[in-house]
Amino acid sequence: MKTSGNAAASMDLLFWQQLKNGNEAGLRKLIEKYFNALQNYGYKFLRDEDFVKDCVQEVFIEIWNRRERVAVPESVRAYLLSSVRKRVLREGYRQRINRDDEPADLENDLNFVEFSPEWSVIEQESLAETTRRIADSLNLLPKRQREVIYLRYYQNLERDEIAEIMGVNPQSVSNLLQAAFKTFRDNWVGFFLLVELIKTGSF
Amino acid sequence: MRHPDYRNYSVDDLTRDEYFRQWVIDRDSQSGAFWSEWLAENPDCTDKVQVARAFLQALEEKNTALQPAELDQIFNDILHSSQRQEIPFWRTTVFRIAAALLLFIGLGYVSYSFLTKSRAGQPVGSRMASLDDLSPALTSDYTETVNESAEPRTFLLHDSSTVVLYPNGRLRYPNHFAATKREVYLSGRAFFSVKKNPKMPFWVYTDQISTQVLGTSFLITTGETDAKVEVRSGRVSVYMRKDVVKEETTRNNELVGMVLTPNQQVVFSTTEKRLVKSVVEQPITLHPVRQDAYVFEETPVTDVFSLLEKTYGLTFIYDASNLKECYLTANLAGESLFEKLNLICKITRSSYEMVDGQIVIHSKGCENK
Repeated sequence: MKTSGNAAASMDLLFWQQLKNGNEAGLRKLIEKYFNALQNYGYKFLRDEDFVKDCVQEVFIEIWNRRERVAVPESVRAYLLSSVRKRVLREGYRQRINRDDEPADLENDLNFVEFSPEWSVIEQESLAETTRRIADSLNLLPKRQREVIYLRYYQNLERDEIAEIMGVNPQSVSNLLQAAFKTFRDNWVGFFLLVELIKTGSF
Repeated sequence: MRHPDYRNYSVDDLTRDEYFRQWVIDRDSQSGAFWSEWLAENPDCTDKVQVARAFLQALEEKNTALQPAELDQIFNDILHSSQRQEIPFWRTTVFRIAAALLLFIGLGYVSYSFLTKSRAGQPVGSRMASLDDLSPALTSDYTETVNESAEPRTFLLHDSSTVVLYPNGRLRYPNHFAATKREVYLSGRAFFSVKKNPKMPFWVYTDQISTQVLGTSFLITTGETDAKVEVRSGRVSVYMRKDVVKEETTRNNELVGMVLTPNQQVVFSTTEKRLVKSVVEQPITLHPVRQDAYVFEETPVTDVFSLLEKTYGLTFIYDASNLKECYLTANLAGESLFEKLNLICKITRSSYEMVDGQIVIHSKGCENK
């Protein structure tokens, strides 16, 4: 009964094919559909809105420039997210070097950040309270588990797509997700979220 | 639109449902209306919906949604920044062989000329040669003016941008701007007010640095060994000239530059070979401020700093908890930014320094011990 990701995915491939044929409409559709989500993801690594926006923009520019030669990805969404991830990490790292900061190890330097939702925009007080408690428990997770949860739920991705983006095999994604659920249970988030999530361990 | 029976949905199902996501993530008002109505009819599902919604919001943190107009702009920028060559030509075999040959010949030539003649009088020629790489438009069909008078002179360019050229300044501009960018070459000192046109960025080349803007005003001063850009309004990107040349040849679209906002400046010196960002010597107020806005009475000093931030568009960095006991009673109307800062620091027993175009306040706090 869930709205299937398949219809959306095949639309994506259609847009991608248009884009490859030099049709601006395809590019436009993909931008409309994914620019926000891509920015949100990039922002998880580096708290600099302008910088992240530029990175996302450059990803699209590169695709458009090389449109005749880019392959057709299995999942357009995963391909875009993974390009943004790489670019933000690489450019962020470079920016640090240029600022003469001590260049540190890339993986440890730019991490998937802790969640700190913007409270002001969450109008309802009880909702804000629940959001805060969930964010707190999410922040207790190791960073890779946090990223898996983010990609699975916020970006609404399938296991294989997550594996592709994070550069691990699909089984590790399942393991990370299970480990995250377990930590949730141990930390007691609030029985609702907990019970419901565990009940539908569809991975 | 027919909806599934959401009553049977788990939190997990909800977070993956497109219609639910339209409400929570895309802030779509139509789905918002549907969900509040649905909740009113199914009050027993409130907790479930609440958790699913909170969960997505906790993951989102920040609403990055852009307005349709902004997306339009982005779409256009992406289209227009991309009339670039396909294969980086330095990857081709022909280029590699040619490069090796050229290097060989070049080395021979350099050692030859080094041995045969002194190097005096050589710079001007080589400058122009490298400008040729950068901007063909500025080396073929152009106009060049030198201000030999003792007064600044104003020029109006075809795109209705204006340039105030100071004495001894030299400005070169093409008789027709190229299709994708507006380019000029400057040596000396000039103040630019650039007409906004996001589709055609405006570039000012000097011997050491290159400045790119979309529409704004700024002052450039170049000397024998240094160059300086000061920003009056808008945003300006400054690059070292060699990086621009590199970008032009490799087309990798990854420039290493610096972004300046009003009242910031960047200085390049050939000795240090890098760009240094700082605050301009005499910051100007960006918005008209009422005289009495700067009369303070027992005002928390952090409020004073936010007012200064607003007035001058500069970022202040300070530890708010440290300053929470600091209050200011003073009349600072009519003083310059730095006079204001000196007074504030004296009164609150703190000091300031400027780092990277921002103002950092150091304080020991104001509690009376």
